[in-house]
Amino acid sequence: MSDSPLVSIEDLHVLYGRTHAVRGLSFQIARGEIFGFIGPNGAGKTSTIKVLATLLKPSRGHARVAGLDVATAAAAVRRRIGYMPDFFGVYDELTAAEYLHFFAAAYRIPGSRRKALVADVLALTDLTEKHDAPVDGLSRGMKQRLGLARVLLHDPDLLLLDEPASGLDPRARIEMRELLKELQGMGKTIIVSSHILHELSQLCSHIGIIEAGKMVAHGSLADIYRTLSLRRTVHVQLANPTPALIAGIRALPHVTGVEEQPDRLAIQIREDQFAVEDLLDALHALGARIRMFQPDAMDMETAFMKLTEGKTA
Amino acid sequence: MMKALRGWCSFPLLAKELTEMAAQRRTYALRVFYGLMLAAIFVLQAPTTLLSQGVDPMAGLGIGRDLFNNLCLLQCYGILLFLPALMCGRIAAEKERDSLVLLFLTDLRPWQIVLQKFIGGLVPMLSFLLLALPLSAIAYACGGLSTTQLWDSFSNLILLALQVGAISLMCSAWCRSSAGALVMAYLAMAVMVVGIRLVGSSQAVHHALLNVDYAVTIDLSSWPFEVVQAPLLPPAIRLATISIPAMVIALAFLGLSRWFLVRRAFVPPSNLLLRLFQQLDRFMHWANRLTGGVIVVRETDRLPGDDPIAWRELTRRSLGKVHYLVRVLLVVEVPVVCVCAFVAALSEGSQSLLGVLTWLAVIAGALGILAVSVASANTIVSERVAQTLEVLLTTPLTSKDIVMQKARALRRLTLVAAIPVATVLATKCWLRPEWLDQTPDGRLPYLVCNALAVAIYFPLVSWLGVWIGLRVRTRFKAISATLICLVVWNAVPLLSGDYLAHILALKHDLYILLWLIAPVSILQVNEEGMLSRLLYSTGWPWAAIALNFTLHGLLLLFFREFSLATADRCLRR
Repeated sequence: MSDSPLVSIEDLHVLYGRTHAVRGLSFQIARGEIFGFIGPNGAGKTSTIKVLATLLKPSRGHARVAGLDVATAAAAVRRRIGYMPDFFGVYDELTAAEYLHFFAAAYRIPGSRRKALVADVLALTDLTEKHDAPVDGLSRGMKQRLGLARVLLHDPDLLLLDEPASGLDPRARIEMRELLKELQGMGKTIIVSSHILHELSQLCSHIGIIEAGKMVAHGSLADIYRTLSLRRTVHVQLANPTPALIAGIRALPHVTGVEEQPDRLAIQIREDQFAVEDLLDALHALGARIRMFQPDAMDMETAFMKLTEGKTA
Repeated sequence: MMKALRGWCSFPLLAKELTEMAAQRRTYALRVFYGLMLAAIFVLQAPTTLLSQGVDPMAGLGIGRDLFNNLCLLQCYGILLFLPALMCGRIAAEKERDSLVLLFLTDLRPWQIVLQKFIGGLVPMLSFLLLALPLSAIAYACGGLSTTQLWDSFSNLILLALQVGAISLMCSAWCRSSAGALVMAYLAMAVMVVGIRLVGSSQAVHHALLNVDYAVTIDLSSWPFEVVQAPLLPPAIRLATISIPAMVIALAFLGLSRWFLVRRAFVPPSNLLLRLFQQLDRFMHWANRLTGGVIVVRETDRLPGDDPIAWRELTRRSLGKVHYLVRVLLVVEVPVVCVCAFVAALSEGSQSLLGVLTWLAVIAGALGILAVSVASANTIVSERVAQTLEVLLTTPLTSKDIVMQKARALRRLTLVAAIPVATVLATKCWLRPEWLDQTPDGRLPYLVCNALAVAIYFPLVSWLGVWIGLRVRTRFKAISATLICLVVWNAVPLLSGDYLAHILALKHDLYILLWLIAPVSILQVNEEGMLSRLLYSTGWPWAAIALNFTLHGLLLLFFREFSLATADRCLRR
């Protein structure tokens, strides 16, 4: 396996008329990663994925898949990617197997190999029983799995999945997550966008948080948590919240802010320079009688809310 | 009481419709286009009218009436062409967006919804009609036109708009999709125009309908092509005679719109064609038992080869499957053959019965062209609408491949549409060879002209539909653009040929070249046996045939090649 990144995006800009959907996005994704793409609606996730899927031409900048520029080598890129959009139609008049045969032919897979291949991807996505079922009659979860089976037909290196769990019930979401893990185990690189942050955190090795067309954070989950921890909020309930005590807390070194809430203080500290435990000691030293001391848990949702302001492009 | 009155006097839906329209660029583009077309044709026709008065400019005084009547005629065509397109999405689009239910949840009553939608559709059309006011002033200034005639014509146009609008709105309330409503509205217009003309052409019915010893106020036989003035009647009676039937018609259709709005608000999306085919299937299975179980084509459950799109279109879609198309052909062809046989048995040299065949060819041709244009305009758009195009575009299939395979699948339908027309025309030639031999053209040019028309015009329409379908995103736009394009393509050269010829001072033979741009023109001339007099009066019909079909053959090539060449750009690859 080569060490070069499978996906490389440099200063990517996408414009729809006067709307600047993606503004100078740059990141790389190594082979075998599951990259979670997170952002509010209208942030530019789908536009970025469509550029990688060769459905949109970059207005500026470059996007490469396996070293191939998506704008100039689109045909070669198409053989290396499998794209599943957030909403996609299926050909209602076909059965599940015919649907896959249709796309196997579209991917120019030799006729002699198609039957076995279709059986394999149906088995992988747990749809073997639906071989002859009309696509129209499949549930949404099954259609999503069929979509996944379709993108696996030509054995692409990179899977681009735009909101694959959208509209699925909890069981189907869990099944989808397990399937993606299995695909990662098979060596696939996956870019997955989703709003279900909790699931992405369980699935992705790396994430990128995008807002208003700009990447606000990207890296491994641990990196992002560490970055965000630099400004940790600690919720403290005091039995003696006198003005003098609060002023004393504000004057503590590395305390960046104290917000007085009705029943508590929200104290922000720079965690890299002032540990949570040190704050507790300092509060004791100031004479504070503490009823509650609760550092904010750093999870994906908190990270997302901290990093984004709800802006759109 | 006051609250109810205030409720009735507020028009939130109308306000929303007008605001939406005001925000759309196409509203202004269409208005400018309409105004320019109207002004251009008015200016072009003015010299014709002047020339018909002689060379003395003073002789032109008093021609205002002719100018104004032509202007009103153009407005009538404008109403018939544009108003169904403006109106038929009003309710159907709400159903497509699933937003009709939200309207029902408000305090708006069904009548209020219908009326506000109706007015919302009429406003742009009325703004179109207002564009003719400066031109009407010019016509009035030329003299020969009384203010009574002016007002009568304006009121007639508005009444026509009310009727056409109400019929189109009813289609919109009936149909689940805007595209379906558009096709239904145009068919309804065609039926009404042809039907009233047929009814009106019967003298007995004419007199029964219009017991008039005085000047006819509404000439039903020519509705809506003539705007008739009736200065002999007192204004009030004239207005009542004109407006009451029109208002009754409009109100009746608005009542139907209100009825269908509620009754058909939640009709599920259904493939009307598929249901028709299923009915046809049942009938054919029943009929086939009588014939001993004939199997013309046995379709196997084969899987796609190397052309998956063509495979799907030809083996899995109703309009591609051989056995469905054979059944459709039988349904159309059997009556056509019966009428032909009936005419053959009874004609005995009767020229008028041959006229029946001409009408049959026109109807079969129009239906065939309608089917091909709708199917071809829909072929790419249906992938967009069903959200299957994006996935298709990420496969290694080239855009050219996709378009070619789609177009290939349309060939069967094109053939099925062409066969009945060819049958009628061949029958006509076979029945009256001596008549054809007596015409200046002869039998062979007649046959060749018709054969070339069938061979070139149907694929031409098919590629025109594909070309337009590649460029738009919705079924409604694709189908309406294709149909309007076909109407304009055929009507404008015929309508403006005279004027352009006068303006450009063209000789008759050169002006024929302009006229031949309209595909139907040569068919009309061929039916009259006058091909040989078309160009330079050479007595040689082949010149006109060669010229016309070279032109349209080149256009066919252009649409095909241009569609393929621009497929990547149109599909945004």
